[in-house]
Amino acid sequence: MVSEEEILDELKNAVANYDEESVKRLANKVIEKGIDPLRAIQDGLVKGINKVGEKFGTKEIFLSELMVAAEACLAGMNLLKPQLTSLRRTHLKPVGKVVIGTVYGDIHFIGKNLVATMLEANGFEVYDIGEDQSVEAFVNKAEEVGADIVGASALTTTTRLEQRKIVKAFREKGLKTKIIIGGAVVDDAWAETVGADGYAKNLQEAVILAKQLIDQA
Amino acid sequence: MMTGKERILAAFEEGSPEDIPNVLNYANLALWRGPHFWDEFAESKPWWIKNAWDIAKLQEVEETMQKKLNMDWIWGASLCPSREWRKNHIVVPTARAVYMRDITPGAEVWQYIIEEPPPEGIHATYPNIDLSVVIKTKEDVEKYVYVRKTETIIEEGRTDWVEALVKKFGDEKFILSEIESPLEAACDFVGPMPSIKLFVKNPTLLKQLVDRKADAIIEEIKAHAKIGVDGIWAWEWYTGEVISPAQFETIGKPAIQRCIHVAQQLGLKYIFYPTGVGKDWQAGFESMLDMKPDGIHLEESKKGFDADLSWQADVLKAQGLQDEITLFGNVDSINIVQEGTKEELEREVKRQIDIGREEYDGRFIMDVGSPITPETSLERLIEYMNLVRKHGRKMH
Repeated sequence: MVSEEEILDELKNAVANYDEESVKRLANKVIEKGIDPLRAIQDGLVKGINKVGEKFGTKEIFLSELMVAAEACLAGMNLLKPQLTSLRRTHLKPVGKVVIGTVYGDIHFIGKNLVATMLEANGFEVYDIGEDQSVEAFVNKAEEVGADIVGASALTTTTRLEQRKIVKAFREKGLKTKIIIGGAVVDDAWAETVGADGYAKNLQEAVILAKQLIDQA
Repeated sequence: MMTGKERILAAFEEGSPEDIPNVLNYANLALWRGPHFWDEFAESKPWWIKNAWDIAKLQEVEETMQKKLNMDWIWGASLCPSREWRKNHIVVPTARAVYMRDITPGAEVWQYIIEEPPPEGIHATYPNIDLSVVIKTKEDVEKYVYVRKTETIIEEGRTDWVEALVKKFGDEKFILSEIESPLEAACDFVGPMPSIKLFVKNPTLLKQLVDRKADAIIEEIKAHAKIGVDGIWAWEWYTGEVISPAQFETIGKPAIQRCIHVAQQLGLKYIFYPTGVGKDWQAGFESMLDMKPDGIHLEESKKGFDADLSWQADVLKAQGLQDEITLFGNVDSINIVQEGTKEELEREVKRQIDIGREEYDGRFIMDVGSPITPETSLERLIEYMNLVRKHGRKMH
């Protein structure tokens, strides 16, 4: 007889081993055995993806493994989330709402997608507006969903200027939304220059920074 | 007095030329998309001559840019649309908009609006495709990845732009053509996100795709060689934090090495430009060096990776490659060229040239790590070029 702890441990390891099929099988087992889905998400899937994120941060693994692991994690989430009772859903209320996108003129999306996935896995409600998005698209979506945070990604030197425009637009409208910038050609100094609330160098920093900004609010 | 071409060839073949070669990567892409650069170089020619592929006019823009910057190479002598496509597509500027009109005889005439690139740069529009749903077997790879033969490439006029540059500048300047790197080409073909997953989910299929892309690229290399270019530039993005050194070694390296070998057999210099490579990916860097490209060019340190030139020189020397591989400078185009003080700019130029000349014994070409930004002024760029010439001159 396999214990609940063992199943959750297997779930965590399945994510950490980028094994989507096993994640789905174990998520279904969680449902069959009546294990608390919230616990399965938090102690299985989230722990697994965070372990993968740490390994990515120390270069033990690379983007290809991280993406497959993230996909496996989300496959598990998609099975377990509908199982949560309304009471549990209340407990799982989002840490915060994030609107994320790549700025106008820039079609890079890998980093942005991964940050979105990691934020989602860590309990944020994420609205990914996609790539090549205008300043207005960021503002409109943030207003529509009542975003706590906006994440604006730019991977080229030519498009990072859009980040400045986004910050300016939010400030001019008097919106309190925190703005995080990211991408290969930006850093803390650029964040300061454009007046953003923070810069995230990698996935882990993006999650930590987002949580810090929510706590500060 | 050596020509630019002689300087670059000396840096590849002998080392220690009189003057360190002075070049800018992606010159006619990066600079032509900056509106103020375009205004300086194009001398009132409209922006849309790029879309129209007006080779004569584009050649004039290149000539004006060279007069102002005097690089030792011509960057971007690459394939253009076929002669038939150019004949059947005309740009029609009107008061309302600028149209690209398809006038193919016998076909219905249709047109679409083309837009002037915004000040912050070109507006990239290629779709994010996912062909992994279509390409599942080796047969699919052969069916969907087309290999255009060398003769066809030339007959269709796809080398006309290359030929124009060779004729105009080939005596004085090193003519450099950009080709796709097979790993990059295969991944872009499938779609970046799906292909990154293929490294884990189906590396065999990905390798088949990479090999097939290499077949196509080799035909392009042969076409460039027939027209008379001097070198090949290949950018590879699937490196660094994207994939592991082991994935590069097994999936990318054999095909890239095949391209390098063909280029070298045809007398071309092959410059490999992998982005995202630094100290923490040294095993991958060494794997790249093992392919023996003629030149290796890394980006400047950024985004958490450290690609200091001194470290690069040390790795190359440790492998005993200083007589085989030419090292490229990687001056930071944002923090130094665009935003650094005059003193910082001169100090970094001198530091890198000293590394190239003293530590690396002269097989060195000076360049920026990433393309010049549109926020950089022409005056600043000329100042940078002049500093490279000043410090790159051999003292007797």
